[in-house]
This record gives sequence, structure tokens and C-alpha cells, in this order.
Amino acid sequence: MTTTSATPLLEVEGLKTSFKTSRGIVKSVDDVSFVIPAGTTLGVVGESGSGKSVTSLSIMRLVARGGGSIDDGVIRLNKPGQPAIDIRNLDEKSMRRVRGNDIAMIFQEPMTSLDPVWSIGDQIIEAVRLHQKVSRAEAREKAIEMLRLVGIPAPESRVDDFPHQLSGGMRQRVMIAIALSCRPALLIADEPTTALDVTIQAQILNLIRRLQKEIGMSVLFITHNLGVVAEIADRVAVMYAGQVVEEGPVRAIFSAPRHPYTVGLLKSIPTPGSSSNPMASRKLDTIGGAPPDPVALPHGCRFAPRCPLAIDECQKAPPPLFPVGENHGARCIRWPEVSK
Amino acid sequence: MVGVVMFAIIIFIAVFGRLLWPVDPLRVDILGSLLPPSLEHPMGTDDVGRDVFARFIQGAQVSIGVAIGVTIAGTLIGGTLGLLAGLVGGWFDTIVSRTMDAILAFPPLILAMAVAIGLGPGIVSAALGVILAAIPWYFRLLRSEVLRLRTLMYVESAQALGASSFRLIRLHILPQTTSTIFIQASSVFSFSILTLAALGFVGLGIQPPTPEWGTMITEGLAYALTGQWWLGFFPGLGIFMLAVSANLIADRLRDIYDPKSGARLSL
Repeated sequence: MTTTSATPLLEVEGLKTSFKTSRGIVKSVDDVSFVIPAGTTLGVVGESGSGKSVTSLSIMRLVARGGGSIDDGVIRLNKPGQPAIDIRNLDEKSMRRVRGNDIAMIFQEPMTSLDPVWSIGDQIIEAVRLHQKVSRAEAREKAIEMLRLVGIPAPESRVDDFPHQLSGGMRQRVMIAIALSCRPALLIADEPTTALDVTIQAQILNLIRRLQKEIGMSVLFITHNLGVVAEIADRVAVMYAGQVVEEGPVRAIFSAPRHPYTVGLLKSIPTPGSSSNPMASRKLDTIGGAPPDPVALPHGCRFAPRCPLAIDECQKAPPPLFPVGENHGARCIRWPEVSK
Repeated sequence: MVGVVMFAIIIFIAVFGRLLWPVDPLRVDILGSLLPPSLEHPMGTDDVGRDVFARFIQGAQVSIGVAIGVTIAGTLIGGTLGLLAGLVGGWFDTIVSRTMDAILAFPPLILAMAVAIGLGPGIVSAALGVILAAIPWYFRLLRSEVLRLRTLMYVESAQALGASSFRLIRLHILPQTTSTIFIQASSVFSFSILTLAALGFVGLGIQPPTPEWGTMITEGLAYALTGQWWLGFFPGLGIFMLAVSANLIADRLRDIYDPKSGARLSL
């Protein structure tokens, strides 16, 4: 599945995004770097407030409305056969052309992501006609075709339905149809399955994977569900308190994690029967403590206060990202001792 | 339905009344003064023998005309300011919001009276006074609607699709505020009918001899105790019907503009 080309589709280097709040400046994303090769999926995991969503909104340059600003870093989009696009320094008009057309986004709340006053067909038509010069009739044809592609039955009649006439899973399919209507090079999926029940989750994941193959796009998949990541991602970035603490191929992250936080996350996945089986040997592990206060981050390693392996050394300086394997990095000074 | 019928009757009288009842509302007939309602004078005659029905018709035209003007002006000015304050925020929002709070500190009728007195009694100053009193209501409603709507996911996802700010307002924020605007507009409509009548009643509105419902009630008041009830009753009925029907229509409009009730719009 992984197609390695010389230049990856998306390069993010040293991204820093902060928000001004009444309590002080919150560095939601602090020095985040990753690349997404064309046609591959990067899974970003982490708990609430770790900076996953802000990272994706920074790539879309949609942080200003929430009072945030991108302070530093490079976000570069390399479409094959075209000059690289420097997203941070793009003017607003060109940025609008990138949004939806080159990079599309689906949000975690399918119930509120569709405008209740327009039919779903109108909303797909809007997306198509924002970026392509086609007539309304052609756009409508396209909308029906997209609805069929995402598996909505009887799309010819469904196209005139309003969002409140659809279930949550159907709405998320419509969101995906809207996002993919302009065949974006990169799809950012911000917890697209969180609000859905488990059977629908599996359907949506399969849908994204199938469409990814058909269209050949890259996916940035944000989730706090490691099971989902194992299923869909080629590479994984684990975020904690605004930083990537471990990044690597999905197999390496799951079989040989090199950061205590990743280990903690893996241990806190419930396995079937783990709570009801009286013979179960262990209770479900949790990571003790709470994420650090974003306006008063620890000086050294940000995970140190919760880390079972923490030593005095950890408090002294922020650890760099150590290369711990092939295309695999971990932000932990004791990484050789970390094991599952 | 009741509201629409009542409203339609008044509008019909205002628009076609002069054609169907071509009596000069200003023609004085001292010998035929204070006649009770009859076929010749359906609403009777007043103290100088003017036909009350003819005066009622012209009063309807004046009241409705001014009320429509006030409602449109209030919607445009207050609505635009509220929209901008909600979207732009910052110092603009602060300055306009505090100004509106200051205006709201005055009871609306007192404010309208103050403006009418300050600019000299007359139809224009009365209308300006009512507009000024109506603006803060629109402003506050629209501002809070915009603040609420812009945080909704679908506004953000439309932005993520590359929609411009203008497009976001036009397609995803304004349509959501139509019901609010309509409900507010109809209540401002009945408020301005009542306030204009009140200003006329105390002599600050339209000046005699132009017939206006409020002024007509004042003139009729003197005769209410002596039994000539028709002088004040019919203009009062007109005010009542117009104000009530406007509110009933507002309720109906809210149902129509609810996307869940099945009414269609097209993008």
C-alpha cells in the first residue's frame, strides 16, 4: 500500500501554533514535524487537548477564528507535477482554493457539520461549484454520483433530503461525499468515527480506505482510538501536550513502542473479556495523573510527572526526538529501556 | 389564518379604500356633525362633520406606510450593525454594543417622544424616534445569533471547503436568522403602530388636519363620555387589528421558516 516517492505530499516542519487566552498563551502545538507520502495514511493519536485537532486546523489555516496563530514552522504541500505550495505564506484567496480542493476535511460531529437549511445535494453542489466551473445540472449529477460512491442507497431521491432526515452514519457518509467531491490530494479526517456506533464505525473506515485506493489520496487520520489506527494507518504519530512524542511505522509502534506514553496507551486498550472474565489476570491499565496545564508546562519532559520511568534527568531539559529505528523516533531519553 | 385575514382586511382598506369610498376625509360639514354610524357614514362623522370612515382609510395608509418604513429601516440598520458586530468583534463590537445598551436604557416610548420633541413634532421625527428605539432590539438579536451560528461545525466545515467570509454569511449564517428577523420585524411593526398612535395621541406625531389613528383617538376622547363612541372606537379597532394580526403572522412565518417543517428553499 505504501508508495514511496521522492517528495512526500505533505511536509510539516517545526509547526508551532498558540492561542491567547485570559490565563496566558497556550502553546497547543509546539514544534511538530511529520511527513505524509502520497497515497499513505498517517494516524495521529493522543488524548484530548494533545494538539491533534489544532495541528489539522493549522494545516487548513483555520486557527485564527478561535483566537489562535501559527507562530513558526513550515507547512508544504507538494502536488505531483506542480510547484510546492507554502501554506503558511499563502494569501487568503489562494488558501481558499486549497481548502476543499487540494485538502479536504471531515469533522467529528456529523450531526452538526451539515447546514440544516440546505438539502444534502445543495451542499455537495456548493462544494463542487466552489472549485470547478460546472453548471448546476452537472454539479447535481456529480452530487448523485458522489452519494452513490459513498454507499447511500437510492441517491437520485436522497439527494434532495435534508440533514435531519438522515441518520448519523448517513450524515458522515454525506460529509465524506462533500469532502471528496473535488478529489483532494489530502483528506484530513478529524475523529470521523467518534460520534458513531461501532458497526457504523467499521463501515466508515472501510469506506475511507476504499475511496483512498480509488482516488489515490493521502489521509491524515486523527483519533484517540488506537484500534482504529492499527486498522487504517501506515504510519503513526503519538501526540502529548502539543508535541509528537513518538512517530514511526504502525507495526513498529504497536510491536516495539519506544516511549512510555505510547506503552501506556497500548496497555489501556481493553481486550475482549478483560472486565467480565473472572479468570482475567489483570485489571485494565490506565495512565495515572492528568495531562499538564497547557499554560504551565513542565520544563523538562512533558510526560515526566506521569511517567513510570521518570528520573531526575527527565526534569532537566526537554528531550529531543531520538532516532530509535528505521523511520522511527521517540522523545524519551530512556528509550532503550522502554518496552511493552 | 386569522392573522392573515385581519391583516388583509386592513391592507385592503388602506390600498383600495379611497377608490371604493371616494369621500374627502378633510371635507367639513358642520350641519352633519357627530352623526352615528349609518349607511351614509359607516363609521359616523366627527365634531366638524368629517366622515370618520374616510379618515380611517387615510389613517390606515399613514400608519401602515410609516410602520413599514420604520420596520425596514430598523431591520437594515440594526441587523447590519448586529451582523458586523458579531463577525468583526473586537473594539467595533464593544463600541456599538455599549451604544446600544445606552439607547436601551431609555424606555422606548420615552425615547421616541424625546426624539419627536427634539426634532419638532411631525411624521418624520416621530418615525425617526421609533426607528431609533427599534434598532437596539435588532442589533442584540442578530449579534447573538451570529455569535452562536459562527461556532457551529457546519460554518467551519464550509470554511474548510474554501468558502469566503461573504459566502459563509450569505449561505450559512443569514438563512438561519430569517425566522429571528421576521419575528422581530413583525413585533417591531406592531410596536411602531402602537408607538406612532401613542405619539399622535399626545400630539407629537402627525399633525392635524392629516388624519392619523392616534390623533383621531385623542379627538374622540372628548366625546366618549357624551356618547359619541364611534370617534375613538374605530381607529382604536384599527390599531388593535393591525398589531394583533402582525403578531399572529409572525408565528406562522416562524413555522414556515423552520427547516424541519418541510418548506423548501433552493441554493
